Amino acid sequence: MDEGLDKLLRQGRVWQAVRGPQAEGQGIASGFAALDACLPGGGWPRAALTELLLDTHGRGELALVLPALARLCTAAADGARPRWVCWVAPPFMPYAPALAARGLPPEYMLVVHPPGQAMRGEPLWAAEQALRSGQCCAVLVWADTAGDRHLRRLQLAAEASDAWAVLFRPAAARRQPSPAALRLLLDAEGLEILKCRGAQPARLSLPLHQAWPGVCPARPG
Amino acid sequence: MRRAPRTLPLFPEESLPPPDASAAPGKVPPRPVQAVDDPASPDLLAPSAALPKALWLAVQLSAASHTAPAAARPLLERLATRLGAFSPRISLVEPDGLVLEIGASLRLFGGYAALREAVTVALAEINETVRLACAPTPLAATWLARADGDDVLEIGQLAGRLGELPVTVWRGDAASLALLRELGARRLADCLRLPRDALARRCGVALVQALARALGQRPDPRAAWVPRRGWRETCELPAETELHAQLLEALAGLLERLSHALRTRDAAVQRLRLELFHLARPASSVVLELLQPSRDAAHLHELYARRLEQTALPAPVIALALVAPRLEHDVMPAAAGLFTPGTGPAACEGVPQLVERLRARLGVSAVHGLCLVPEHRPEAAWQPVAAPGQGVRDAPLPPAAVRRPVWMLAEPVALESHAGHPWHHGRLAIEQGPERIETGWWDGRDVARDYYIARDRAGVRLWVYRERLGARRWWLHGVFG
Repeated sequence: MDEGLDKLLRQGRVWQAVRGPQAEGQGIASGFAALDACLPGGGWPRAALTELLLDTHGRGELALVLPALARLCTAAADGARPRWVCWVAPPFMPYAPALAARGLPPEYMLVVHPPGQAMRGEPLWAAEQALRSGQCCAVLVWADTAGDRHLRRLQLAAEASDAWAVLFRPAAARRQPSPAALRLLLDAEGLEILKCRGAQPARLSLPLHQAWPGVCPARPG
Repeated sequence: MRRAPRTLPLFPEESLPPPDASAAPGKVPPRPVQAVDDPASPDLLAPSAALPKALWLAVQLSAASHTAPAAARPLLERLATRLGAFSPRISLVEPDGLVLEIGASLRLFGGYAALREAVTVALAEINETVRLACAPTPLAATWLARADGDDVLEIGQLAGRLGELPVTVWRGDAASLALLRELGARRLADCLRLPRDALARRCGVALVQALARALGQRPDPRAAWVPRRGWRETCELPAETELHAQLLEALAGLLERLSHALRTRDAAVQRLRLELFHLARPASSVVLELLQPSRDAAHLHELYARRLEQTALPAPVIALALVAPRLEHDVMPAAAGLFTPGTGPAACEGVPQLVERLRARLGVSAVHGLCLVPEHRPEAAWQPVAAPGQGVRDAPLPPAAVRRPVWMLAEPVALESHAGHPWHHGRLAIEQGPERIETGWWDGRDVARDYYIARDRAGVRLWVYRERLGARRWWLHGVFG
C-alpha cells in the first residue's frame, strides 16, 4: 500500500468502517464483555454523551450502567480524579443502601430534582453545569423531551469534561436525530446499538439480571 | 512638671507623668517611644529599640465633604475599612478625621514614601479628597493634617514644626480661642513660649494637656476603631428600574465593595440579604445562603444573577442594600490552588460552588446528597443531605442491602389485589420472597411487612410488600432498575 496512506491510517485519523475498535482501553469497561466488544475503546465512551432509550423505567438500565459507575468511583477513590456522580431528575429516588452495596459511595452522590415539568430545559441545564464543574466522574440525566440545541450543548459540555454523560430518554425519541456519540435502545428484546461513533450498529442480549446477585430468575413453582 | 529621671528609663511610660483621668480608662495606652532618641543611655534603651517606632498618619476629610457630622461617620467608617489594609491600629478622630499607626507597617510597604503613595491610591479609589499628614504622635499628625502642613518624621523637629501652625488647629472652646487671640498668640509657637502654669490658669488645662500630647510629653491613648460585626451598604439607583441588567450592575458594585471589606477583615460571608427598595411598597429581599463561606465577588454575582432571574420583582426598584448579617472569621475561603489539576477556570471550583449554582436556579430543596442511616425500615435507611460532601457519616452497611432495589418510590403505592395476587398493569408474578421486615414498634411507626420480588407483564422487576396486619394490602415500594 502507499506509504503515505499507510501512515495516515496508522495515525487513526481516518476511520475505516471495516475495522474494529481503534483506541483500546480508552473507554470505561461496562462489565459486560459482549457490549465492550461492540464499543470502540472497549467500553463506554469517556468525554462524550451516551444516550440510552428505554421503553419503560426499570427495564434494567441501572443494571447496565452501575458496574461502570462503580468502576469510576473506585478509580477515583484516591482523590486525584473527580469522584462525584450526579443524578439529574431521576424517575425514582436512588436508594443509598443499594448503591453502597454495589460499590457507589452514597456520600459522593448528588441528586438534583428540578422542580416541576414546566421548564423543559432544566434537567439538561443542570447536567451541563455538573459536567462543566469538573467535579463529576459521571452525570446521569433523565429527560422526556430534549431540544436539539440542549442536546448539542450537553454533548459539547461532555466533550469538554472528562466525565461519562448518560442521557436516559423514552424510546419514542428514537426518530429524533441526536449528537450523542453512542445511542442505545433497551427494550424487552435486549439491547440495540442504534448509533456508535467508530463502530457498527448491533443488537445484543445481555445477562442484566446477573447484575443483581440476590435476584435470580424465576424459581420453579 | 517632673523631669524624666535619666537612670530609670526601663519602660518609657514610667518616665512620664501619670495620664490624666480623662484618658479612656481601661484602655492600654500605646507605648510611646519618644525616649529612644535620647542618646544619654543607649544600653539601657536597647530592649525598647525592638518596639516599632511610633508614627501616625492622619487622614483629614476636606471641609467640603463633611457638611453634616452625622453623614461623616459612615464615611469615616468606610475610610477606616479601606485603610485597614495599611495599619493594625486605626482610631477615628470625630467628626472628620482618623489616624493610622503606621510605624509597624513601614517595613512591609517598603518605607514611608511607598506607604503614603499606596494610601493615596486607595483613597483615590473611593473618590475621597483628603489631606494626609504624618507625625510621631497622633495629635500632632491630626493638627498637621488640619493645617495642611508637611510631614514630620522625627520627634526632634516636632516642636519647631508644630509651632508654625495656627492655634485654631486646636479645636478648643470659643472663649479660650478668643482669649488666645487677645493675648496675641496666633501660632502654637506663641503658646509654647508662655509658661505652662500661667497658660493653664488662663485658658484652662485642656490646651496645656493637648500641647503635651502633641509633643509626645504625655501619653495619648486612642481607642482603636473596631469594625462592625456585620456589613451593610446601600446603592441608590439613578431612576426606578425593573431591568435586571441595571440591578445587576448596581449589585456588582456592592459586591465588589463587600469583597474588599471582607479581604480587609480576613473574613467571608455565608448568608447575604439583598434588599430591594420600592417607591410605594415595603422593601422586598432576596436571601442567598451559601454552603461554604465565600468572598469571591464574581461567584456571588453569578449566584445572585441566577437568583434574580427566578425572582419576580413586585415593583420597580429605586435602591438596593446588600446586608451581610454575620461575617465568618477563621475560615479559609476556597481559593483556586496554584497546583489544582484541571484545565479551565471552571475546573478549579468545588462541589459546593456547583451546588450553590444549581440551587440558585432550581431552589434549595432541589439539590441534595445521600447518606446511610443504620435502620431496618427500608424507607428510613437513607437520608437526603443538605450539604453534600460535608460531614460524611459512615453508617455500617446492612447485609440485606445487596438485595435492595436501586430505585425506591418516595411513598409506597397501594396496588390492586385480585384473589390474593397483586396487580400492577396486569397480574404480578412473584419471583422471590418473602423477606420479612418487622420492626419499629418502639417509635410508633412500626412496620410488619413481607417483601417479595415480583415481575410485571413488561418484564420489569418490582419490589412489593404485603402488610402482615390489618387489611393485608399489597404495596409497591421499589423498582429494580
